[in-house]
Amino acid sequence: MVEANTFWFFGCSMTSGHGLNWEWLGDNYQERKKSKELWQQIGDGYENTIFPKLLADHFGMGYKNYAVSGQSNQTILVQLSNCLHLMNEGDRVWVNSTWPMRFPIPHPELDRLVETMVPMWMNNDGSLDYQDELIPPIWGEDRNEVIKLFIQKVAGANSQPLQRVYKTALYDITLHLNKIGIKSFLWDATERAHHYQGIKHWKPGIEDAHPSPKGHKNIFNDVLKEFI
Amino acid sequence: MLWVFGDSFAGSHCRLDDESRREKEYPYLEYTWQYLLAQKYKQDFKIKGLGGACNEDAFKIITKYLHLIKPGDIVLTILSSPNRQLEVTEDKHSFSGGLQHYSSILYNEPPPEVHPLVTSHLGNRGVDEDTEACRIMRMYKYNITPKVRDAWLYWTLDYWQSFVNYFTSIGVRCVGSGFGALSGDVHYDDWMTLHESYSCDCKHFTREGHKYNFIVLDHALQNNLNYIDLKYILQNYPKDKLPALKTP
Repeated sequence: MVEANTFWFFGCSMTSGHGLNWEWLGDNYQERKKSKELWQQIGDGYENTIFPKLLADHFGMGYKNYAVSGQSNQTILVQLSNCLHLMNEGDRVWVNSTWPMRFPIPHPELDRLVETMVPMWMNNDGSLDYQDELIPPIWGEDRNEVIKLFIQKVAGANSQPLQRVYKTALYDITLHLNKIGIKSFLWDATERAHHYQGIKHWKPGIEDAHPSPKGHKNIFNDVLKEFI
Repeated sequence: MLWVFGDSFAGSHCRLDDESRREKEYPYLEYTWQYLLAQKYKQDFKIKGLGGACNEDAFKIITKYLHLIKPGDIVLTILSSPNRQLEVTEDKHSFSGGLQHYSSILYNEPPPEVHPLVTSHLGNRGVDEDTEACRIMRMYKYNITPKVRDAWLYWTLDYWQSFVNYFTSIGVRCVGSGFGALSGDVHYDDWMTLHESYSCDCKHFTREGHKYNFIVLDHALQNNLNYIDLKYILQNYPKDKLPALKTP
């Protein structure tokens, strides 16, 4: 019996199915999801409506989704690299690049990096602003000052160059995979996500922009055109 | 093909361009570890090291050339200090080779002119301590502790293992070496550097240092090692073939 090929998925919350599917929470996700406000608002029943599952089902392929909500481009790149040796000719790979102001940072007490998000934008007057409540406590009590320093001196107030570094690396890998018979596709969430219906449009009152079931269906239809 | 990635210890920095070194070390190319390994393993070689590179730079360059690396090739990656991190350089990048060199090796096509280059911060000078700490830790509340360094080191080696797994799966031999800046200052004093031998300000290998680095990497290839560092060498390498090393 010939083993079915696999459809691999890498990315952030756009590909994890945030709000509809909670498998990205890992072990014991059925329990862990219950602490999420979004799950409490939406509930179950939409797990199989997310576009990665629709795509894997459509092609009759195995399904491996490594996307995690809040994940950075740096980590997406490493995860994709981690799986290269497991991919076979005939597999398919979806990679979504994400917003650049997300950084793994060294945990002050553990010997490892932890993923953090810094939702940041620049105002018309050039000043920086960010959604303070979404920045994890690990950045410390002086996080506003630290993040401002990091953005201005290290990451750059215009995040596009940093985005380009990771997008070109991800693109190089997807090009390589395409050359060796593994159909691959790079999709930039920062450019594409807003084209699709969000949960906030599907369920008024829930302020969440991740794709609704209809949004996922539309992504699925658009992607099919690229994969055929 | 023998591919060489990594920081200045992988690259041509201070090997072909430095006139003072040329006088001291001429003829130089035939004595480099890259050339010696290529000769021994009957390969051509391509040097894709980048002076001052951080490990993310090195890995990005590997991904750029991934489609050209074929079964039977050898890949050597000279890993750099985990303290080096990516940074937007604006117009302040002044490290050797200049903007064009960095741009061409990091990208297939140069970034738009309006984009500053993003590469290791090493070439950027004149920053304050807070920024330096912020680069490395992505926060400056905490001091740079061994744990922070270990966290980046773990990340680096895990990422390198991705390439080891992939290259091994397609029949490419590969070794990652902590012989660049990753080994800290220890090898600078004892590994036959120009600094040690000639009291000049260059800390890269002398001819003798190249010879020993060749022995080390050859040993790694012969023994199918995918990563070596100073600690391994001190514990395992044949003592009669290497100079005495000073432990940290």
